Amino acid sequence: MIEFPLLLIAYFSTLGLVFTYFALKDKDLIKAIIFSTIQSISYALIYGTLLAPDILLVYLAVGFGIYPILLLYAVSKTRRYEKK
Amino acid sequence: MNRRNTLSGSIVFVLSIVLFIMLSYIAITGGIGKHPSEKINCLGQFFVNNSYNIFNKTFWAGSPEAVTSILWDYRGFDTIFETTVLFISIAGALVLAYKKINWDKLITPLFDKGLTLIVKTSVKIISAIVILLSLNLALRGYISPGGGFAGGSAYSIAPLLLISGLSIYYIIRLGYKLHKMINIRTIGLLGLSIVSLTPLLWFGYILQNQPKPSTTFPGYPVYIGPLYLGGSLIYLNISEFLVVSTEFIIIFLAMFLLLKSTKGEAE
Repeated sequence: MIEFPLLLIAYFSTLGLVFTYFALKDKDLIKAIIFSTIQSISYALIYGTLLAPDILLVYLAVGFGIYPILLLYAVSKTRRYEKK
Repeated sequence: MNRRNTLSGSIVFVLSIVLFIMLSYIAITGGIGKHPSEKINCLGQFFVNNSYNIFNKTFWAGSPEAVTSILWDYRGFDTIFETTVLFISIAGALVLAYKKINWDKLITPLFDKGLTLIVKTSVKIISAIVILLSLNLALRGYISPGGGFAGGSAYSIAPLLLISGLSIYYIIRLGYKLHKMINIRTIGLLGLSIVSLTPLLWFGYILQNQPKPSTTFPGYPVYIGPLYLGGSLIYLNISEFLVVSTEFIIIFLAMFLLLKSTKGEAE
């Protein structure tokens, strides 16, 4: 059954796109970072579906560990809410 | 405002379902080209057959992990150039940041302010787990998925967590000093170059792992007694782990030291 992984990939990429939209739209920057992290998790799951665990591990470390913490620091130097 | 948010939320929900159905339809009906077959193609067949083939050792890499043996043996130059790119970018960033760090302003306070005790304790526990997992990724990289880069980038999360949960002074007291990190990175780079250049002494080629008919290089040992070492892959993974982890830590240290030392001027 080759279609099932393709369906999973379609699902995760849609999920990633939706959370990218939320991350762009949200005025609360902390929430935006969390949405962006969920998007990178869904992309990491695509790598898992494609049977590429080596890339999945690097992607998890960078997209789930380093990236949100650095962005949280960047936000802590400015305001939490975007100006209207 | 609230009603508009709900409306746009439901529009996004409907649109995403439509997109998902469209993508699934395209994927199932073969809209992305020929269906990927369940058989492995001939290039993949070569690596699966040869990366750990004890019966025919002509093209073997001595490691059952085909990805790591491609990264360090069959296509080793790719990884070397990747390391070079990371090295140059970190060196450039360090040059820019180093002159701006005001060392006189960085006086170690007696007490870290940090966050609450719950956060501090859990951050310590999590970073210990992260360090163990990353060492496992790096040292077992020639047997199971993982390797130097994955292990190094996972390791660098632990100091980053400690910086955010406790303070930068805590990890400096733990021993993550900027100059020490630069020295460890140099050791890792030296290890990479020694392991990759050693076959040249036997008229082999750069990054040669196992003996080949065209050269006289005896190859790195795959087994030493009961220990399974996987040829040159373990040394290269450890060196890459040292390089990548310390490079990420250098960037974090430079960034946070810069933030701490220029705090007074910015405000």
